[in-house]
Amino acid sequence: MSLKFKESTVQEFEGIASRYPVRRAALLPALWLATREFGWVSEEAMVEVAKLVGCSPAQVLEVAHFYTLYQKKKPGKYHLQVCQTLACMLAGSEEVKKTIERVLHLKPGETTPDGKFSLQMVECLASCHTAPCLQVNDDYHENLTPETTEKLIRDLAGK
Amino acid sequence: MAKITLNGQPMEVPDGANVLEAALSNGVPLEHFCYQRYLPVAGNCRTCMVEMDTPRGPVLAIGCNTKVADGMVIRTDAPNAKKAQKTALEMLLLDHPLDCPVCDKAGECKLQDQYMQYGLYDFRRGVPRDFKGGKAEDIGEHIVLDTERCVLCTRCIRFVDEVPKTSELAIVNRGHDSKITIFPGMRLDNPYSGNTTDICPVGALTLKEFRFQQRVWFLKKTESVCPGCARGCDITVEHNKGRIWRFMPRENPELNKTWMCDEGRFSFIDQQENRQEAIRLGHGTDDLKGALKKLADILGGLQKDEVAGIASPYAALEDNFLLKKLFEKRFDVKNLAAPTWAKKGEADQVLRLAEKYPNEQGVKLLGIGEGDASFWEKLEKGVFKAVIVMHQDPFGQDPVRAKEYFSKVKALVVLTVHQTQTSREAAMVFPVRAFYEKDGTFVNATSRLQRFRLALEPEDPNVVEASLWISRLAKALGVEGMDFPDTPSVFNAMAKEVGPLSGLTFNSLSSMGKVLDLKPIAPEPFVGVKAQPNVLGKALGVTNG
Amino acid sequence: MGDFQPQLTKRFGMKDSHKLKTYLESGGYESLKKLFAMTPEQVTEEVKASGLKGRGGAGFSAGMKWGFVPKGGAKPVYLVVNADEGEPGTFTDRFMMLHDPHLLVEGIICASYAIGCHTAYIYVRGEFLEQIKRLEAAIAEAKEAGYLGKAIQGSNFDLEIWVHRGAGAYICGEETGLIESLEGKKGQPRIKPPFPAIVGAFGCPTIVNNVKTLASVPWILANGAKAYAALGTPESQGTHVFGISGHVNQTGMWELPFGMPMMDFIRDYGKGVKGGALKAVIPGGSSCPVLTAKECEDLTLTYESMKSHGTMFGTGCVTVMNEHTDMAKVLKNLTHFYRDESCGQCTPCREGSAWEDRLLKKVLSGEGSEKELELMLETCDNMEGKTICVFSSALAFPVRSFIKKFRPDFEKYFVKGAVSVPGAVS
Repeated sequence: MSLKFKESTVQEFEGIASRYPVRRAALLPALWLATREFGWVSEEAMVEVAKLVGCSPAQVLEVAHFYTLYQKKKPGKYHLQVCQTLACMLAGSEEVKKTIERVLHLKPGETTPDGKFSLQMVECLASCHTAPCLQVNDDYHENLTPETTEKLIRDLAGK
Repeated sequence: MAKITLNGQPMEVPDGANVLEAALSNGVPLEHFCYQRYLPVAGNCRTCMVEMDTPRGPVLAIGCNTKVADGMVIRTDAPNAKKAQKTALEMLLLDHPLDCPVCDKAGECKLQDQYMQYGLYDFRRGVPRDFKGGKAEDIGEHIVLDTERCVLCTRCIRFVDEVPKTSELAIVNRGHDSKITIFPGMRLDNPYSGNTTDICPVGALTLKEFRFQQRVWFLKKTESVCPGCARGCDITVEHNKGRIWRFMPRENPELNKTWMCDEGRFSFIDQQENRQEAIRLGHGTDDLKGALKKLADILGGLQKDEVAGIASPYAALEDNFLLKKLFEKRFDVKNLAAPTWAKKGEADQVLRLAEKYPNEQGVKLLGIGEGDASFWEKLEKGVFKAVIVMHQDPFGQDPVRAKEYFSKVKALVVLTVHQTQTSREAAMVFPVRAFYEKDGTFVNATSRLQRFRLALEPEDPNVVEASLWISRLAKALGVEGMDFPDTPSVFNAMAKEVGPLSGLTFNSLSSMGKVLDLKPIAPEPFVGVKAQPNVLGKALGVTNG
Repeated sequence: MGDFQPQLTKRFGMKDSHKLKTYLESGGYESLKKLFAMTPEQVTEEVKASGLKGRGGAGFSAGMKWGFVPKGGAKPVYLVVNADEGEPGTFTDRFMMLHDPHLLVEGIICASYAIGCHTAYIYVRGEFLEQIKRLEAAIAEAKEAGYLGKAIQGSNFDLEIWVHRGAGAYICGEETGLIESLEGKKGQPRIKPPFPAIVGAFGCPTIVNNVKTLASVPWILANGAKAYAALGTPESQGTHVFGISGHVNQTGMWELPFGMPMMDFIRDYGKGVKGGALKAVIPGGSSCPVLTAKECEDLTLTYESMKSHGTMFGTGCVTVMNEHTDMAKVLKNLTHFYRDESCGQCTPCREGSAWEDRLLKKVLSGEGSEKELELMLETCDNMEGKTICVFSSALAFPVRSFIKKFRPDFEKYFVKGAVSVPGAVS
C-alpha cells in the first residue's frame, strides 16, 4: 500500500514552508501533516515526508524518532498519555496508570486488540496544579482519581 | 601566528587553528573522538577538555571548538582537565562491548589507544551493562554496522552529509537510547562509503573486504598514489606477507583531504588478480635477458620507421619518458602515440573523474600526443611491422577499433601488468610491475606531480618495471645513454629535460607532491563542500602557493 | 507588598479573554502608541532599566540580551518565543497563552521592534494544541485589525508571527535546542560560542525569550521602567506568575510582585501543607536544588534569596512535599525524567543521566550501598560543566541536593529487605 499526500495537503505544506527561509524548517510541520493525514508516522509516511520537504529519509527518521509525540507505531483510536512526573507522581499518577492497566488489560507501549486504546507514559504535561493528568489524543483530562479515570475510559470505550 | 602558552611552554600557532590541533601538531597528546579535521566541529564527545585561563579564573573548555588567540594560556595536563578527559572516556566505555578479540579496529581504535593513555582506571560501573543491540549488520555493499560499539561521535553522519551529501545515516532516539542506524530497506551505498569506516573511531563501521583479514599491527604501510583515475588521491598501500590487504587514503589537505572513493579503495582486489605471470614469445617462454635479446634481434632487422609505440596515461612518467627517449634515439618519435580508447567512467563533484587513468597529464607534459592522422593510417595499413604497446589494452577498450588498426601488425609486443585481451592477441608478452611494485611518479588532473613507492617485490626477478625494461632493451639494441639503474635516476634525468620539472629530484619530492606549471584538465575537487581552513596544511608547509 | 494591578493575569477569569474585542476593551495594544514613538534603542534601554529578567528559568536581564544583537547587520534578525514549557512543576505559560494570547502578541511586537525583527516564531510544545489554536486565532485577529503585517498602526514597522508546533522533547526548551528544532532538526543544543544573538536561527542573529518575559514588556513600556522596578525588590523587579502544586490544600497560580516569603506563600495561597508537616520544597522546577523545611523559613520568592539559599529562582512554580514523602522515590522519578529527556549528544550527559538512573534503581531495589550514592555524587561532578548545555547541571542539582539533604531516605534502602514508605499521599 503506497501512501501519498493529498494535493490539497501538498499545497498547504507549500504555504507552511514559505514561512521559513529554509525549507528544512518545515519538517516538523510536515510530520504533523503526515500524522493528520495518515494517522501516524510510519516508515512509508517518512519517505513521503522526505520527498515533500526535500531531505533524505534517514533525516526524517532521526527527527521522527527524537520527538515522543510522533507515533511511530499505530496508536489506538484513543491514545492515552499518562503524565508520570513529579507533581503527578505526588498526586497519584501511579493509581491512574494501574486503573487503566486493570480496566483495559493494557501495559504502556501496548494497544488493545480491538485497536481502541493505546497507553504511553509521558513526562510533565504542565498540569501540575491539576494533577494527576491524562492526555487523550490532544485533550487534557485533569484532577483524576481512580474512579474518574475508570469512568472516562468506559465512556470512551462505549463510543 | 598566535602566541600561546601550552602546558607552560610558549609557542606560536597558525591563526585559525583550534587548541586541539595546536596541541597535536606540537606533540602534546590530547584525547579526541568526534573531531575530524575536515568535517564540521560537533564538540559532543567532550574528551578533548583543556583548562584555559580567563579573567574569571580557569575554566574547562573543549579544545576542538576553541580557536587560538594571542595570550591564551592552556593546560591539557591540569588535574581538572585530566579528570574530565578520563571520566569522559570512562563514560564512553560504560556500555561498550568488550569485542577487541573479534573487532577489526583493534590496533587502530581510539578507545583502545586513549584508554592506555588517559584511562587505566578501576572498573566501577556498578550496574549491569545496557547494550543497544545490533551486531554485524550488513548495511551496504562494503559496510558492516555494529551498533553496540558505536560511541555516537557523529563523524559518519557528518561525513555522509558533507562530502557525498547522501545523508543515509541517522542517529535515532534520545539520550542513552540513541543509536546509529540506516533507514530500513535503504543501503549505505554512496561511492564514498568506505571512508566512514576510516573515520569511525571504533569498530562500529567496518569494511566487509577487510573483515577478519589482517590484524593491523602486522600491516606495513607504503606511501602511494591511487591509479584509479586522474584525481590521483594519495593513498597508503597496506600489506603483509607479500599481499596487499587494503588501500587507505593518505592525508593531503590540498588534494583528497582524508578521503578516497570506493572504486579506488577496493581496486586493491582486482589489482592483485589475473596477473600476467610469464614472458611469452609466440608459444614459448623465456627469461627476461633471453627474451629481450630475441626482441632486439627482431627490431634490429626492421627499418627505423617500421616500429611504432603506444605509450600510456596508465603508466608512470618514467616509463613514458624512457619510451619516448628510445623512440627519439633509435626509431622515429613521430611513431609514438598515447591514445586512450578507454570509456569514460563515472565522475562527480567530490573526487572522481571520468578519466580512469592516472597520468594523462604526465603524457601531455612529455609532449606525447594521441597520434596524428598519418600515424593511424600507417598503423591500419600495416606499415608498422612491430608495435610496442606499454600499459595499454586497446583490444579490451575497443575490440572493433583495435582489430581495425592492429590486425596487420606482425609483431605486437605487449608490456602488461594483467592478462588482457591485448596480451592474448600479442606475439610477445612481457609482464611488468604494477604501480605498487615500483617507485614512480604520476601527474594528476590538477597538475600535481606525485610520487608512489615500492610496496611489494614480485617473486619473479624477470618482472621489472617498464622503465627498466626499456632501459635494458635499449642496451640490447646498442643505444647509448639510456642506462638507468633505478627510477630516481630516470626521474632526475627527466627533470633536466622537461621544463616544468626543472630543479626537482626524485628523493626531494614532498609526500604531498608538487603542483606544476601545467594547465589542469579538471577542476579542483570538493565542489560545494564547505572549505575548512587548511590550517594544519599551512603548519606543515603544504600550501603550494 | 503594596498595591499592584495584575498585568499578566489581568484577564484571567474574563469572559472571552482571548478575543481581540475583550483585549482592546481592557486596555490592550495601548503600549504600541508609546512603542512607535521611541527608537528601538530606547525601547531596549527601557526594558534594561526595568530590571526585567528572563522568566523561563535562567533569569538573565532581558534588555541586556536584546542589546547583544549586532546593529546594522545585513542578516535578518529573528525573535523566537520559547513556549516549550516543560520544566516539571511548571504550568503558568500554558494559561498565559490560553487566557491572554494577545498580551503575548503585544509583547512580541514590542520586542521585535526593539531588536529589528520582522519575522517572529512562537515555538509551542506539541501537547498544547488548545494554546496553539488560541494563538493562531489571536494572530489572525491582530493581523486583520492592523496590529500585525505591514506598517503596523501607521508606523513603518512590519511584523509577521508564525506558530511552530513542537513534538515532545523537554530539551527543546533550551534556547539553542529550540532553534535547532525550529530549523527542522533534532532539538540538540549547539556548542557555544557562537551565541544565538550573533548566530542563531538560520544563521542569523536571534533572541529567544520566554512567554512571560515578553508578556511583561507592554506594561513596562506603557507605565515606564521605574514603575516596574518599584514593584518587587531591588534585585527582583516587577511581578511574576507564581504557581504551587504538590502536597498543598490549594494548588493554583497567582500573579504577585517578587518578595513574598515562601512560608507565607504556602500558607496564604497554598492554604497550608496537606497531609502532614512540611518536609521539602522544590522552589522553581525540578532543576533547582531542593530545600528542606528549615531552609524555607527565611526564604523569599526572589532571585537573590534563592541564590543565597543555594538554589535558583527558576520558573517560580513551587512543588511542596510533606513529611510522608519518600525523597528517594521522588528523586528516582526525576532521574527517570532526565534520563528520558537527555538529547544524547554529549558523552557525560548521555551516559551520566542513564548511569544516575540505573544506580538509583539499584539502591531502591535494596542492592545498593554507600558506594552507589558516592558514585552518584561523583557523577554529578563529572557531568556538570563538561557538557554542551546545562542539562547536566539540571540533573546534577536535584541529585546532589536530594542525597545531601535527605540522606536517611536513601540509607534506609541499604538494608536488604527494607520496607519502602509510600511515595505519595493521595
